[in-house]
Amino acid sequence: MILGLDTATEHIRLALVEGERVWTRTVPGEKGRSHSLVLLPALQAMLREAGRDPGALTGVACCVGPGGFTGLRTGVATAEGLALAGLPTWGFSSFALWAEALHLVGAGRCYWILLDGQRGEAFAQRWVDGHPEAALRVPLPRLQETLGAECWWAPPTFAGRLPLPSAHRFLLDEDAPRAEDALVSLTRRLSQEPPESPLVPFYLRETDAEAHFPEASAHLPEAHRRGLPR
Amino acid sequence: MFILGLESSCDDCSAAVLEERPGGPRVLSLVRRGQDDLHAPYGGVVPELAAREHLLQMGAVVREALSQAGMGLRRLDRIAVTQGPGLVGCLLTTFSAAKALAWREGLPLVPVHHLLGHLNAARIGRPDLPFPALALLVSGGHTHLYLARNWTRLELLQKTRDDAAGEAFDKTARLLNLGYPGGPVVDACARAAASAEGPFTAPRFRDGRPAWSFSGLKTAVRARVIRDPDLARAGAEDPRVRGLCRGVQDTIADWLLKPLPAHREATGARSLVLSGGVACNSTLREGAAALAHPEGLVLAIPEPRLCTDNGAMIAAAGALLAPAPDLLSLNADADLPLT
Repeated sequence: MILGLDTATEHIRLALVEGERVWTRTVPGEKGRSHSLVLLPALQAMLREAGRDPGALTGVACCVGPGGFTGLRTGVATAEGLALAGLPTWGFSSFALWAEALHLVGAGRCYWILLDGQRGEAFAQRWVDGHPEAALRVPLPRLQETLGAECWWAPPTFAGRLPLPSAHRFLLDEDAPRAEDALVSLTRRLSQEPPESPLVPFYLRETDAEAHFPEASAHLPEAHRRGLPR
Repeated sequence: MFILGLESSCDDCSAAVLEERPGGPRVLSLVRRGQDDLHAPYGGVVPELAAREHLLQMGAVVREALSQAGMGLRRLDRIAVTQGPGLVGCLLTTFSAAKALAWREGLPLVPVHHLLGHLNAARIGRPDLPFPALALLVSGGHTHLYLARNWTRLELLQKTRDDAAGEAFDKTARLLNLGYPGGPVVDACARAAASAEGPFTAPRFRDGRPAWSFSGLKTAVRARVIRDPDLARAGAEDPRVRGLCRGVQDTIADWLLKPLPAHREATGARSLVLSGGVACNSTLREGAAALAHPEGLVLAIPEPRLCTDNGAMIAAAGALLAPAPDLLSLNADADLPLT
């Protein structure tokens, strides 16, 4: 039974995949309830629903970002903890999750995934025929110029703030179920691939240390700067 | 009983396997990955970078600790992990992993207060320590004196009102361009000094309550470097730099140890524990030894690798504390109070 795990946003998304059987859950973010408090109880409840115990888990596919710093830390560290018990792990990006969701609704050959990069920026990645191009950080005023007339998707809470014409926007009506379907599909596919360890987060944004003290940051390896791009 | 101890509250990622026997704890393995090279160019720990590094290191650190101890997970009796206080992004790394691992394997999980860990570092060498004990826990993040009633109960006697003593070492090294971390380099310079520059004026508090303060000392060092800018360029071989380091080091040790006799008198303490990263400092160790004997105090200073943050001290504390009844409801806490 493979666990699919996404803690990169305020919601926690979980999937359990065992052959053709799947269980999914989205736990909405709640003020004062950190991912660290919510994650394992939600997983435990899901396993109970499936009539299984933690020993039934045989692998973990985990979202490695980009996303919220603390949520991401909780998710990846939890996956790494399960890896210490001998479980293989696989990482996927936040972009890949939504690209999977768009793929499942037949969104076409080419589109942009836009995520809230905070600080007036979008994290943007163009997908062509199911493959990602290099992810970008784009200041919101420059989005239109970057995207041209290509189709795009962004989470509803972010899409409303984007200075983009809605004519090219993809809508995923039922946001949560689509994301859960995508998580199941991605988890199932990744579990057929060679595992990766350790899971290296994909931050996309450099640390504040590098932004404020670039001359002191020359020694930082890429894994500490923007993380492992996917 | 075999305990896996994990610690990542600041800039050390560490795991250890400890065997708790009737005669006391024995360290079977201790792995620690420091981050000095990562933080050196900034002159201090950068929390976000520390957290990023922990996540990359943790798995290998834990596996190495288990492997060095020749220990599989099945032989472990419990997992102990630092719950706080500390940097939250750093704490969450080993805390989340320990929770997940204990949950998956059905192992008891013991959340440990970081300072109880530092106290229990002394238990590894002195399991028979007589209580009550004065516990002087000094690092880059803490400068606290406690009365330890036993190995798991600390009562605060006094603490710093601003900076930790370790910060004064780091700042001195930074102002003199001696490198990072400051403790070892200032210590080396101080030991090579022919004489101590000083004195530095001790802080006084209007409310008269016992406390420490190290921000004024940092300012005083800065004032000397401003007065004589050559000091910032002279390097570790320069006699004036060495003299200043000696002055700062003697002052810190003197201020830290000065209130101890009065506290011993007031509390009837029978022992003195000195722990935390600053407990590696040679002047402080010598000063504590010189003070303990005439005061009739049994002295316990852990070996240096157990003074800095490490998983063995967390395991040692975790051997005595009760496992969490419901590990799923646990969370790391950057400001965890002592209970």
